[in-house]
Amino acid sequence: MRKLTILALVFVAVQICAAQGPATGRPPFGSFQDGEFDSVNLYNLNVNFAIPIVSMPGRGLNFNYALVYDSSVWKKAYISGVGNVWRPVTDASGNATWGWKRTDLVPGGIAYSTRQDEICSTERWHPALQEWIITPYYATYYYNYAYTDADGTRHPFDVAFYGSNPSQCVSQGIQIPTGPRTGTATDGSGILLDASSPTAPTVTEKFGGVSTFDSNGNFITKTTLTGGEVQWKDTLGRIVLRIVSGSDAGGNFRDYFFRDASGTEQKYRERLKTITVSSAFLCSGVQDYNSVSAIVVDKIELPQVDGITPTYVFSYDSKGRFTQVALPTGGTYTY
Amino acid sequence: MRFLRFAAILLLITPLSVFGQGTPVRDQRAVDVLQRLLVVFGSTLPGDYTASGTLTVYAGGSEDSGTIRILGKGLRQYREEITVGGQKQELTFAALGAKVTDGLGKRPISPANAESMRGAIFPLTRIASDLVQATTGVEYLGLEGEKTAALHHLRIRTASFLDEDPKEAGTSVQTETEVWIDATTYLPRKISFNVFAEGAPKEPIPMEVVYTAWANFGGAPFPIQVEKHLNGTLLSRITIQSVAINSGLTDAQFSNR
Repeated sequence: MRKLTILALVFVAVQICAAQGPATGRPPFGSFQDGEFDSVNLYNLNVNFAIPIVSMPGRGLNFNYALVYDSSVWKKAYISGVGNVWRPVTDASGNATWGWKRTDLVPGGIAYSTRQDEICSTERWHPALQEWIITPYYATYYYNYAYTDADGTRHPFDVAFYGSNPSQCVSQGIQIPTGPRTGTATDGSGILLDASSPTAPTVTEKFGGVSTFDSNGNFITKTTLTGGEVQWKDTLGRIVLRIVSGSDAGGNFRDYFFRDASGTEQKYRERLKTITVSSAFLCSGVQDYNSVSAIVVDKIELPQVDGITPTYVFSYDSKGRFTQVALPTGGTYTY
Repeated sequence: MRFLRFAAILLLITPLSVFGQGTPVRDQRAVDVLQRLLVVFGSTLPGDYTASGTLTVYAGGSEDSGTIRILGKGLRQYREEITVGGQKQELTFAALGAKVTDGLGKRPISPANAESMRGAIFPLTRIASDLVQATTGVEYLGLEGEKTAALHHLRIRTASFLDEDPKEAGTSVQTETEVWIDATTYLPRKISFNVFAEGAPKEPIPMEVVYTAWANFGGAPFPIQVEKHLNGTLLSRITIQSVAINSGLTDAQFSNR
């Protein structure tokens, strides 16, 4: 049956592979084995954990920022006309995450897919080529909207529509649906999506807002300064978090500055490293992903305590999945 | 129409301004190389062709062998029929988009992939098809060495606008093909372009088609050893054993309705 997989089973999987990657975070109604540090999804064995950086409650608008990791770093993708391939899980911009979520959490990361559908066509005779040239007209179909919350949980929406009707098709009497563009998450979480502007959608949680504004007028503003520093300010103009990237003898790092309960600025340092990974699953009918450089978190250094820097240290295998985390307390989790 | 005259195609390659404002740049060195390429192929393109051969598909550590038949007509009609393990897959590229057909039925190939993959195994018609579009630009990137051969490296950019509706302004299929042409024989050595997985329009996956051997059929060169690489990994190896030129293929054989 192995041969069948090349042409048949590969295409059976179209519907499975065409949508999105593995379920990460804590999907509603999922079954999990919760540890003191991590949470394992018993359906797909994805390991999820979050290292909180800032948690600032507000009147309707909370600000939470955490470094979130999901161990499912590969997804099976279908390329029309080619077949199935392994691909790295990516963020909304199409960049490989290698498990680490760096989406801005206010507002939450909203991803969507687009494709071009042929709606109608026109024909004209090309005298030089002695051929009929048929010109198809397409419209953009927006679909697969999903919001990833602060815990890295993906909330999908059954919202799909065309951006607009091609004028050439309208003149032929062909109309396609361009809405509705709002909807509630299909996972029962109550999160509302508004995709009135297809490429700039917003979401609102049922209980309390995570959009830029809440119903009381409170807001969180994200600003990227010259030089790359990213700041988040609250309604009163206070900096609740700033992120600065740099490098030293230890390699590249990203510093997260925040204020503790006493108002003193503290720092988490996330050290990065580059590893070479490949899928190499050798699954029949699915082409493996060639060796590629992956930037992953090497360690996270917490504010010093009595002259000691508590540190998380992470290890990864050749497929880019993490295999061990050493906790600041000295304990380790091995996977 | 048994043959497509190159005269028309050559005229379409050379002018830099006849298409009016907004015409992409076609730099002269690239145009010179493409004209030499077309001369190597004689004065005509076949009106249609049917190539038959074998292929080996590599995926997930396994190798599976089968047969392949390639049909082409004009510049835009192209079809691959692949049979592996008794299962058949057909890729049909017609003027009205492209579709894949297998045991599960017929499904569209995304416009981006259709434009990129059309005619990849027989590069002359693919290149000619790009060049007849007014939106196509050609750039000469340099003379590169590969083993003992020197290769002209060109980039061909096309923009097929999908919708003239102002609300969809800017919506088009942008295709970028890099072509390496042997500086001695002026036969294409390889082409590369990006394909996209379903639902991932922002994640280009590089595909490379390498032509390792050529032979003459009916007076025109045709690649007889072809390798497809996806993301740097060998995807399939094709050996063409026979090519029939101008056998009278009909448009119906490229219907994807």
